Amino acid sequence: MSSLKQLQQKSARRKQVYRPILDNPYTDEAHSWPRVQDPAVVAELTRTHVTEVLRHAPDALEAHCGFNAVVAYLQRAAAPPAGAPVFLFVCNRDPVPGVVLAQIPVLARVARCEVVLVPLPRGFIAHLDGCGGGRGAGGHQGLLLVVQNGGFDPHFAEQLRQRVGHATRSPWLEFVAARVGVVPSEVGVGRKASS
Amino acid sequence: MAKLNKKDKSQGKGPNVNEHGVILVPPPKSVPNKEHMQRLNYLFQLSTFHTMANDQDQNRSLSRMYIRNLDLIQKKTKSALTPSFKRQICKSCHRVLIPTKTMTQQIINESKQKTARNDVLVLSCECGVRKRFPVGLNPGYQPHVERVGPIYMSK
Repeated sequence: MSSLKQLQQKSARRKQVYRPILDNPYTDEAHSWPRVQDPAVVAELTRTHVTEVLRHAPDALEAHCGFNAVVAYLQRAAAPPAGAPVFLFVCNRDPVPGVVLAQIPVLARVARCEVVLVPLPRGFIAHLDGCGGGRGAGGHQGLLLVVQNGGFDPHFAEQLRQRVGHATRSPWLEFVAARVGVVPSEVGVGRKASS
Repeated sequence: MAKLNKKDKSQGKGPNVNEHGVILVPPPKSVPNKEHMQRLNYLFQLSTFHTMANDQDQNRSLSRMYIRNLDLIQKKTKSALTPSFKRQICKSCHRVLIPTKTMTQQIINESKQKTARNDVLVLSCECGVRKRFPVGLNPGYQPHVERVGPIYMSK
């Protein structure tokens, strides 16, 4: 005679196990991506002042679209007197591979020019399709860099700066406590082992 | 009547089993050997600091030594690191991979058709070793840790 509980335990193949794991201290949301006030307003301003402008007049703004172009610009950018400040729009909420965007906040910090990182809300990636980047839709990897020079609206730049809170400027100068977490065992592994 | 209610409760209390036949248990309240994790975290931050602050040493010997220690301790204590953590370390020379400082990154496409499916992200370390991530193959790919989302332990 066995109870229902015992039967269930017999039929259950494996007990869930939690594995401790150490996370990268610099991938914390608070340390890497800046917080945006009024994301809907920022998205609307970006759409009207940047993406729509670039779609109708590609030469109106000095813009670099796509991962390679953005990374190349930031790596060779000059220091402030010569290099103009730039706005880097990133669709980090959209389905862009995480490994592509992982180093972008660090790159924005170590670049010699002033970079204002602007994370955009989910669904904005469709607006970047007509802004260049080559290979049509999706060729931009959700990245658009605009240089603040003569063609860029200073009022819009001020609005963006007010709404985008800067993340920790140099996180490696501050000690960050260990981010230790636990993850449950993968179900597939359990099934594989038992079968 | 009260007794009956109690019985009902005890009968419905069976183990929580998911559709794959795995017994689900609540997460633990603490992590064993947390000190090892804290030590690894400290070594990583120390190495990052030296990479960022010390530009005079071209070989980044001190920074690499800390990561070498981290690697040895992690293997000795069998501690797990997240994929994002491991992606920031060169397995060959033990440098911390920081853009413009110790590595360059680029998306390349070696196919004739240049389709997005063949995009490969290449992280090239100063030492010449390259990490390749076929990002075009499955853009929605997430490792198990990111899919499940770790439950962070409080101090």
